[in-house]
Amino acid sequence: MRRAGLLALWVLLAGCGPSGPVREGPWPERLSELAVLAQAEGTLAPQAGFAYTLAHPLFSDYAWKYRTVSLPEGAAASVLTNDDTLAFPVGTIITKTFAFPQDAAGVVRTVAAEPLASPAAAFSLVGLRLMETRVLRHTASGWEAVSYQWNEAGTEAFYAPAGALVPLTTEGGERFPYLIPDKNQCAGCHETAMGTKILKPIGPKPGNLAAHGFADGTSQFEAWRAAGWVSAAEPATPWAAPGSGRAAEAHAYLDANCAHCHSDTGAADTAGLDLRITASELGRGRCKTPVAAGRGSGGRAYDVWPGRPEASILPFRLGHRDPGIMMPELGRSLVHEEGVALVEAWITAMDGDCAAGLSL
Amino acid sequence: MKAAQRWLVSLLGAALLSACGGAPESGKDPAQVLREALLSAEPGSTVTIPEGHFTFDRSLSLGVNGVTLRGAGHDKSILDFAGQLAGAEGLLVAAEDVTLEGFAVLDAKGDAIKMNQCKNLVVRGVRTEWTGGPKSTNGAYGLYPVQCDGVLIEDSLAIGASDAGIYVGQSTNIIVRRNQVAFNVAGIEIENSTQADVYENTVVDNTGGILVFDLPDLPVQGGRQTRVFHNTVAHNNTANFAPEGNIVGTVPAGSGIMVNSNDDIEIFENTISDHQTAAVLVVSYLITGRPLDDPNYDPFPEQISIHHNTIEKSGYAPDSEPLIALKTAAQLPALPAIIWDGFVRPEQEGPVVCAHDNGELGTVALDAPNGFAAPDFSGAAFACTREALPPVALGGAE
Repeated sequence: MRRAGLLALWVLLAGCGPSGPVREGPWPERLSELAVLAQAEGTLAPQAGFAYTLAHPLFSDYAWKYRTVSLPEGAAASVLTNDDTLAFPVGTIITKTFAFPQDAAGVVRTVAAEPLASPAAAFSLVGLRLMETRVLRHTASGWEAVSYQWNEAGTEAFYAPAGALVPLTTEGGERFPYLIPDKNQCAGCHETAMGTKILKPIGPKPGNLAAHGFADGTSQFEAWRAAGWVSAAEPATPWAAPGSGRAAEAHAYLDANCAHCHSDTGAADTAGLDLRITASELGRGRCKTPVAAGRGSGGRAYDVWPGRPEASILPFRLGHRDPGIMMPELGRSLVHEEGVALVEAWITAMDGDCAAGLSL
Repeated sequence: MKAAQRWLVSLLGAALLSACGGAPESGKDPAQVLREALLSAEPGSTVTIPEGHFTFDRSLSLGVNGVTLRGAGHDKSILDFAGQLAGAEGLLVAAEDVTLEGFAVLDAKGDAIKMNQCKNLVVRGVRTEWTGGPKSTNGAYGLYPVQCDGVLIEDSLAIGASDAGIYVGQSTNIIVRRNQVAFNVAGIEIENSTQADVYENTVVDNTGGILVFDLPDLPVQGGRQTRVFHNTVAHNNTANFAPEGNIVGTVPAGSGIMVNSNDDIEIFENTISDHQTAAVLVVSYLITGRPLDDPNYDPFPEQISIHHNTIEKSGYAPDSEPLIALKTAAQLPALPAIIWDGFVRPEQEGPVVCAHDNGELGTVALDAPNGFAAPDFSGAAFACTREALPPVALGGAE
């Protein structure tokens, strides 16, 4: 026993030295030891790989997000379809760092971040409170997911498989618990085919990546192609740009925020509501009665009642903060007002009607 | 000895981890200890919940196959979610061959225990309860396995759910037995499921006692072959407190056993007493008047057999407008105990609901498809018998 322990200690201590990204093996205790993000002079920057952004991000209580990908030497991601997550090679590490703009009194501000300027752009930490960095690692036995929680000083993040709830207050005086997910909660979203125990990245889909353009006019996806980070014969077809048009933009929003569960294979396939960007109007809940919604129905008859957002369940659940009612079930405590407005506008503009229901 | 070894290993682990600087040690909060035990459980291991009352501000989850989660008893090991701030259920299980035993989940904000896409699930002596009584603000489901193959729920208690106390959805091979189920909207609901045995349960003071439903717009349909027998189903007359919009919101208060659009159902040798609407109610989804766009869905209940039940006191104050109208028009002190709405597929030949040897309280076929114009109290529509359904075999777990 003692010899085994000493051996393990030696291995761990050896892991403390400088080296490339830790692409497999035990998770290091400190994020810095993973060697994918470098912190210097008030910024976070890719230590390996490059930064990216999503035109349609998952809403996380207005947290600012800084995303990086580190591909193994010489490898590239490949395209499955325009609307599926890229297939990243074994050895890939994806990070997403969550932070809030915060004033001296510790109040966080719910304002939008500056768009990512380039794949090399660093993340300025000035005035930010770092919360967590979620890491996805593609090892030989599949993707692994865990979060690292930053200390209050923002100097280091620590392995946090059990997650945490961090109480925060917005500039409007709203108190909310910010959730750092535990490992199972990571899987709750990233196991996109429920029951397989296979995790996958969710965000980086060609259409979503391509919908972001850099200041020089190039699409983010084309920048990846030019750099050889993704092997693709064709440019991607970008999803609707944010602020561009109601239906297509709402479809993109629902895919980014809901489709990891609401697909034909996800954890919410039990409900029969499909919110992927490829779904049909019926799949997306038009005149669909609730199944196991419980209080989530809000006394409304249909998921989506064309022309009647006030009678539709979807915006009701997006606009709620009660854990027994709200959607998504996890990952936000605040309401994404702009997202609810987008979905309501989409429903308002829909043609058609649903029948009024009766009962015995 | 084994436990001591594990302690030693984790102590050593902590020492090793701090070799690289280490995180601040998590406190010894027992709730946190349980969360971490569930996260780090080895396949096939047992995670023990000690006696005590433990509070949680976010949901727990188990994702490891073959784990037994065992408490000291549903009145001794209490997991309290009254202060829950995050998570749509108290405990979420997403794994196969899991056994849950001897603990309680109280006042979850959403569902109490959801078990998604499981295999060979055993729930034994577990209590799910909303402690403030029946309220529409209670969570939807107590014990909630969905899309599972192999479900055994026994000797458990389910109290206060605003949808169903025990809800088995879109599953196959199910046994629900010897449970006590009270003050839910639906006591026990078997929905879009195949091969279920529901027996020896005590189901009282719900809105509807035992429901066997098949509903449209779900990925798993064609619910059939459920036996409901040897249950005590009594005074399920609690006013319906489901949030509006839910299908169980349409269940009239005082429904003992209710079949909606399911096929191959045998209801026998139950004691069904004191239900203001009906001891047994058989309906089609069509009676809800909801639109039906699902081409794969069969809204007609068929091959229903109701026999040798002991039925007392039924239909004296129906909680349903058409049934109140019927009772008034027929000038009856009480409606018959067994009520069928009368929806049949156009090409149907012969009866779809057989009822015999259920005592003297009678039957009625409502003629709902024709606006309740010609209700038939003669029993002619129910005059048939069916072969007994085979029992469910779970392959060892029972």
